[in-house]
Amino acid sequence: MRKVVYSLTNSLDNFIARTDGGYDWILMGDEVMSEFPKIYASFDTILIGRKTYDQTLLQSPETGQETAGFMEMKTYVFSRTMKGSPNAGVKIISDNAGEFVRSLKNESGKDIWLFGGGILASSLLRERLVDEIGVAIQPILLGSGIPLFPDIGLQVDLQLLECKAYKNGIVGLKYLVKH
Amino acid sequence: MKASVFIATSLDGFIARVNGAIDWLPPGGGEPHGYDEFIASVDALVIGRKTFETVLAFDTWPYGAKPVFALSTHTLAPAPPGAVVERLSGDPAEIVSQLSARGIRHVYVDGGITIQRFLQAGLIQRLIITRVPVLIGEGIPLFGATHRDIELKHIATRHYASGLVQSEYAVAV
Repeated sequence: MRKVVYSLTNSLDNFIARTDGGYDWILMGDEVMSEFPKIYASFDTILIGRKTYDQTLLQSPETGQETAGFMEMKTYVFSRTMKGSPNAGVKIISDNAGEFVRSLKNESGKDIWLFGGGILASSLLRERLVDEIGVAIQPILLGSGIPLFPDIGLQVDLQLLECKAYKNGIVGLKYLVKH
Repeated sequence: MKASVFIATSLDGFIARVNGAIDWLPPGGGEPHGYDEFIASVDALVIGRKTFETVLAFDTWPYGAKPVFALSTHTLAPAPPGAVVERLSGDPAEIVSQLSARGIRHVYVDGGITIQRFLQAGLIQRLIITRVPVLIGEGIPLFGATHRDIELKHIATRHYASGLVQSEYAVAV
C-alpha cells in the first residue's frame, strides 16, 4: 500500500506559518534544497487543505496560472466551499476525506505527500491514515501562528526513523506512525 | 549568570497532558540522555510554584541538596528533609539579579510558565529540548506567546536508541 507522508517545515514552537500565513522566517539553504529532488521523486500525489492551497498560490503568483497541477503531481485540494477546480490538474475533494484517502492508498503509485495544513493533517491522523511524519525544525520561536498539529485529540505513538542536523541549524526528523 | 532549560516534550510540543500528567514520558526518565551531567553543571534551580508542587508529590525529592528557588507570591508547602528550598518572588529580571548577587553562575529554569516568562524577558541563554517520539494530541505547551521572533542558534542534536532526540540551542541575543 502507498504511504501517506506528512512532511513539512516548522518553527521550534511548532508553527507552520505566521498567523497571516507568512513564511518569511523559513531557512532553506543549499544543503536542504539538495535533498528536495529525492523527496519529490518519492511522491506522485499531493494532498493539500484549501487554506494552505490558497496561501501557496497567493505567495507564488506564477503557479496560480498552472494547468498541470501542483508541482506536476496529482493534486487533491480538500475543501467544503470550493465549487469547482481552478485548473484542470487540481481535483477538489469536498467530503469524506478519510474514505477518499483510504481508497487512494490502495491504488498503485508512488507515495502520497500530505502537504498540510494542520487541519487536514490532524483529521487524517485521527483517522489513522498517516504513515510517516517528517519535520524540518527551524531554529526560531515565532510565539504565534498556524499550528503544526491542531486538536488531534488523541495520542499517536511514533518511531524515530531519521535524524539529521543541517549546517544552517535546521533539524530534520522522520517518524513512523505506529498503528 | 547563565540560565538553561532542560526539558522533554512530545513531538507536538507539550510538556504534560492537560491535567498535568506525564505518563507518556518513558518510564524512569528513559535511557540516560545527559540529565545527570546537566544537573551537575548548574548551581541552582528556579522553578515555578506548580512545578514545585508537582515534584513535592514525587516519592523522592529529585534535586538532592541542590538549592531550589521556587517562585511564588504565597507561602510554600514544607519541603522534605534534606531539600534546600527558598521562596522568591518578582519578575525574571529581579530574580536573575538576586541570584547573580548571591554568586550563582548557572541556573536551571524549569516549569512551563516560568520558562516562558524567562524566555520572554530574554533571560534564557540555552535550551536543551528532548523530543519524545509521541504526539499526545493536547496538553500544556512548552512555549507560549512572545512579543517577537526569538532566533536560536542550533548547537547540537543527538539521538538515542529509544527514539529520543535531543537538540541544544543557544538563544541569539
